[in-house]
Formats: sequence, C-alpha cells, structure tokens
Amino acid sequence: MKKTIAIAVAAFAVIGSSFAQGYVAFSSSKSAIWDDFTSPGVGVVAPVNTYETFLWTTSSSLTTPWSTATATNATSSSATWSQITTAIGNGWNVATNNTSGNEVVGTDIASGVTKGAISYNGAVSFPLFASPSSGNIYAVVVAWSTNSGSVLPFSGPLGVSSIVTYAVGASSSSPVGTFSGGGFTPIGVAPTPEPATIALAGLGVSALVAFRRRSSK
Amino acid sequence: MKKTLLVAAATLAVGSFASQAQVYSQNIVGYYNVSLTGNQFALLSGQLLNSDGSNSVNNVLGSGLTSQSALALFWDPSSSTFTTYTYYNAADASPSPGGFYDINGNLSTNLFAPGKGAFIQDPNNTTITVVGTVPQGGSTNTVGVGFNIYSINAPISTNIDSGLVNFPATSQQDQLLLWTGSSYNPYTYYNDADAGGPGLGGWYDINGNLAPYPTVGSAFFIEHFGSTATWTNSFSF
Repeated sequence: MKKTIAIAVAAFAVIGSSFAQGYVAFSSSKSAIWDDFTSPGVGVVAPVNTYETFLWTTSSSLTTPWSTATATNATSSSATWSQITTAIGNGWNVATNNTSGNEVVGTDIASGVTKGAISYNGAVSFPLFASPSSGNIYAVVVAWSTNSGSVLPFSGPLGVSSIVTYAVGASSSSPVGTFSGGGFTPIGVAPTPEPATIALAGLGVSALVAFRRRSSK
Repeated sequence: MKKTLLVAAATLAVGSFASQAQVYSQNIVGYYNVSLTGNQFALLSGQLLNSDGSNSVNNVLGSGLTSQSALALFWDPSSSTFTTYTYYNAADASPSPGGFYDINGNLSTNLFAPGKGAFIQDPNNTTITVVGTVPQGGSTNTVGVGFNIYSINAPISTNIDSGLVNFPATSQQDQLLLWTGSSYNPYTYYNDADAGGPGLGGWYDINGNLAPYPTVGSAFFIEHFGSTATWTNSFSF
C-alpha cells in the first residue's frame, strides 16, 4: 500500500510541475493537537510526540470518508488509515513543499504560550506543490504519533480534522493566514483499530481459547 | 477599509515652553480608527506615538482583536519572508503577558510605529483604534535595497513623493506596491526629469496613471533599488 501511495504522489508531482503554485503557511494557534494515544480518552496537549501534514483539494464539494474530526479526548480515532488511502485515491492531494520536494510534515510546539500549535517551516509560507496561485484550497489536517514514522505512516494512532478553507498567496510576499483562521479546530490523535489489526487480534483470541482448551484437557 | 482621522481636537496640551525664543511645541493627542473586514488582510501602520513611548505592537494593538485568531505579519527584509504572530489576550497567554506571539511562543518585539507597517487580520469584522501623540519634528529612517514595508510618518494622506514625505526613491526603478485587500497594485517612481518636466514626477502605474495617496493608517511596500538611502522628513501641525 505504501508503495502505491508513493507512486501516486510521485506521478502527481510530475503532473503538477507545469503549474503555478500557491503559498501556504502550515501553522495554527496553541493547543491544536492532543495526545489521546498515551492514555486513550484522557487527552493532553501533545508533548512534541506527533507529526502533522494535510491533504488538500481545490474542489469545495469533495468530501472526506470520515464524518467528524477526532475529538481531543477520543478513545479511538474518527478515521482509519484505510480512509486516508481512500481519500487520496478520491482526489485529496498529499501536501508537498515545491521547494524541497518533500512531504509537508509539521510538529507540535513543546512549551510556552503556543504549546501544542502546529509548526512547519517556522510558520513561514512555502509553495504548495501543484496548487493554484490564487483562491481557496480545502484542506484536512492528518496527525499521527512520532513513534509511527516521520512521513505518513498509514498505521498507528491517527487524528483527522474537518475541512479547512484556506486562501493561498500568490508569492512569498503575499500575506497568508494560519489554518486556525481557516476554521481548523483542535484535534486528538487516538488509537485506530484497522481491519487488519482487528483480524490479528481475533486470531490472537482464537489461539488463546484453543490453548486454554488444550491445557484443560 | 474605512479609516477615519480624528486627531487634533481630542486633547491639546502645551508640551514645552521656551520663554526666550517664544517657541511653543504642542503635543496633539488623538486617535484614528481602522475597520477590518473579517478574514481579509489589511496593510496598516501605527502613525501615532503611543503613551509609553515604545510603539511596540503589543502595546498599540490588541483592543478589538480576536484572541488566538488575529494575526500580525511582519516583513523580514533579510530573509524576504513574513514572520507570523498570533494575538493572545492576557487570559489565553497567562502566565505570560498578552500580545503577539510567533509560532515558537516568542513575544513579538516588532514596532507598530510611524514609518513602519504590518499586515493585520482578524477573523471577524472589527474596528481597531490607534491612540497616541501625533509625531512632529524631524525623523530619519533607513531605506535598504529590496522590499520593505513603510508608511508616512504622520497620520495624513498625501502623495509619497511630496516634499513633505520626501521618500528617497530611485527614478525608473523603485516599485511601490499598494495593497488592495487581496493583491498588490504596482507603481514605478519617475522623478520630474524622467516624467517629463517640473511637477510631473511621481509613482505611475504601467498605463501612466499616478498612484492614489495612501490613506491614514495604511502602509505600503516599496522595492528600493540602487544603494541604501536615508529617509528624512519633518512634520509640524
């Protein structure tokens, strides 16, 4: 699956290279990301243990496979990684920095007034690969545990936002806002029971039952 | 963006008195209002001297802004990027003081002062009030090569190339960018000789139209060419 996604992203990069880019600042106000995976259901402002990226589209009518954002005190995520894959397949683009060519991956701020804010590139705007140079884009924030990897891991704890409306800038000298201004509200990163995980858990339970039956004979 | 200058009459005080020379210096205290459209950037300046003399953005702005959502973007000419600051009121910033913080939680040290400017945005329609003393007398600013944000040093609306403002522009090169609310309108500076004769110099768009006057409380971008220049002017009211 990861390979498929990587190929899709690469193909999208080639297609997008001939278009102008809009400028985006991927940041937020404080307490944006909450850790619900260390103690599910007991959310705390993420202590520098999450990464964040965003998926985006220019279509105002494109929906997400998930219906709600992940609550800041969720016991489980409101979305699955399979739904992230589905969203990408349905036209949501993985955010890529046109300057570096890398996936946009932010972190949460450790302490101080802005603790828990999303920070990427020091909140300085960057050219979003293949995006329009004016108008709005529509974005969803995707967050995960740093334990899962430094790019979209497609496994492990997950948090998703509702759709944010964001006005891109035409250049680096164009003023752009934060995601908070576009309607982003704080989300949690919570455990995500994927179908494969559930199946493995079922196998484990079955094995345990069989072992106990054999032991009792 | 509606701006109203209500300086002058609010308070009038005699600041100093020199009996020998019979020279009076009057401190004119007042304010002007700037109306912000929700979710739309405005390029503004603090054209009054605030009461504590600092003209720190944290002291000039705050009232009327939405905590955790209002933004101030200051241009860094050395990196040619904006630094974004989010406004936190005293309650949201506690135990730190209220004010504008960058993404790393550092309180802004930027000035919102005569001659300078920044982009300001709030998610809601709101009115901000800038209060202080009208600057008078001479002032000196440095105009570096490249882009930077400037404003007229006093709360007046006039042409930037007037003798009063005296901006040291380089003819046929310097670019003035006036913010419309969503994009920039560009103008190029022509001195009198290059514009065709005495009194014709000014900032012209590509079609030969003169730039409108910056309104009270507004700032503008100028891209300066040549070498670093000293900008001196003097206002008296």
